[in-house]
Amino acid sequence: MTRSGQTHAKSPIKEIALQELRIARTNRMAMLLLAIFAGMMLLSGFIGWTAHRTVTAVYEEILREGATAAPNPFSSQNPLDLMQNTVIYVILIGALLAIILGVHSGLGDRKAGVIDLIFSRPLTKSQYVMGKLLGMQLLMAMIMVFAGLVSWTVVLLVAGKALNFTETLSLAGFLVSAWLFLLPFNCLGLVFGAGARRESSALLMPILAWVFLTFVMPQLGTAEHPVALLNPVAAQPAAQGDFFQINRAALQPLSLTDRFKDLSAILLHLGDGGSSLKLDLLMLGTAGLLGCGAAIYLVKRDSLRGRLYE
Amino acid sequence: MDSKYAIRMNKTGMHFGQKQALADLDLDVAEGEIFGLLGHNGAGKTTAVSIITTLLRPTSGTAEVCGYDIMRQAKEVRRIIGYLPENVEFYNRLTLEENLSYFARLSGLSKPEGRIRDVLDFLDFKGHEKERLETFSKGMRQRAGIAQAIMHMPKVLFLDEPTSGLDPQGVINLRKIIISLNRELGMTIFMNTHSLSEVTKTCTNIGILREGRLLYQNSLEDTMKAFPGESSLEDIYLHIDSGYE
Repeated sequence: MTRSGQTHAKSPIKEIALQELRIARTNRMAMLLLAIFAGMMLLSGFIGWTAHRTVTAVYEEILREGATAAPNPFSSQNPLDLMQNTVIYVILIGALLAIILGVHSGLGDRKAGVIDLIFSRPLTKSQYVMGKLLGMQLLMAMIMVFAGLVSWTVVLLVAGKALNFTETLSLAGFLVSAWLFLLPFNCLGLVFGAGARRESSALLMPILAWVFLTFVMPQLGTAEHPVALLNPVAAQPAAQGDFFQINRAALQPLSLTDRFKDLSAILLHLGDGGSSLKLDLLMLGTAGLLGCGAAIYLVKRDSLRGRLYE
Repeated sequence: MDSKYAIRMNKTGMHFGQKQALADLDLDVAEGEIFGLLGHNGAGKTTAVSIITTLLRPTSGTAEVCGYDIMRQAKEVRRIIGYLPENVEFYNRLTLEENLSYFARLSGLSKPEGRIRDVLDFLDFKGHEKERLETFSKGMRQRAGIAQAIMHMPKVLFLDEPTSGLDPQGVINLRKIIISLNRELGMTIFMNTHSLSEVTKTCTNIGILREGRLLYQNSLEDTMKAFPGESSLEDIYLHIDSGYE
């Protein structure tokens, strides 16, 4: 063996990202969550199909009885309407999936005990975190592409016709907005996974943050029932009273869930979104970038090297 | 950057809160040495290695590896060192080849496949490339640990308690490897150890650390001559250590 023959790789970020994908392949929890997410997509289509069939059966019944001459209410509806439950699944299952993937990413190398092997190599902590983020986003992108294929196929089978180009573009836009919505949750999971001293608190803290963003923050302005907050409709007007009026004005534009629901309503043609598509996209994009920046800044080498208790 | 010293520690100190782990440590290791740092548990050996390998920042003083400052030129230092931690761990669900390839790429090798073959051949460890690390014994993990540490042909190799937990045959094999790395590839080797018999058979120079202070440093040959009344390194170690008290 000799010292000769070395060629130097350009950046460790790519290597960390690829390793993230290799590890995800062997991570049973990640695979299980992916299966659940895909299953939810199918379920969303099934629920849409059941609703479609029931309403159509009732319509045909009353049409036979001559009780109506109106057209089938589904005939004028956009086929993407079948996917409206997907919005709820993204907010619920998707966000949890993003948090768990982030936590696993932050914890993975600590649990494997390879942090010292990694940081005795010529890379910086920022490059390490960027690699982790890139790897996770590649994985999330794959999940979204998979979800898109499932959704497209479900609509084809249920509605009996393929989505046209514009509708396919709308579906793709919805998946991109879902990816942007989930990005801050990924980052949150990564920060806590990399810094927590216990695996249980690494999961608990981002889940609390998710509960706050999804339920508490919108409720502070609207006083709505928590379940109603999941519906993919435009953000509701403020409840009566100065407290709610002020909170809504201050918090609603910043509420990630409201922005995502607005965008989904516009893209899946579920009624008018409360604000504009561009503004919603800008807010989600900014939140994603801030999440990445915060992760790069907040993850510390010493925390990564710190002892992890079961 | 060249330096006749592979490692220089200049008044390097380290505190963890109120606890002093290293106290103004001055230590020089010349290129080509196999240096053994001896000491009790908690003497500060692992802290010293963690500082020189840039994993920890000292709270005072400086240190250099082959002339590169460990704080200002940490990346350059990491390019020229290899490190085997005590109780080395890997991605257990990945194969040996996947693990080695990842760490080699992080060390800067863009196409490490040929190097992996060469290193496994050098360590007499071929045939396990496709096996997952979770199936490996302690001795096999230690070899895998050496493999990841030398994949990029470092100038200085740090071994933290390399023989810990190995069976006698494993210790003999590892000793041969360490000597070959030094003689055939010219690596300077810095190892922390409790095993005095191992130091006698492997090291050219020694240092003795106690409570973060360097009590003694010399070549093994001169050390044996300097204590004619003592029959073994174990006795010399106890002699120096008791003198401190």
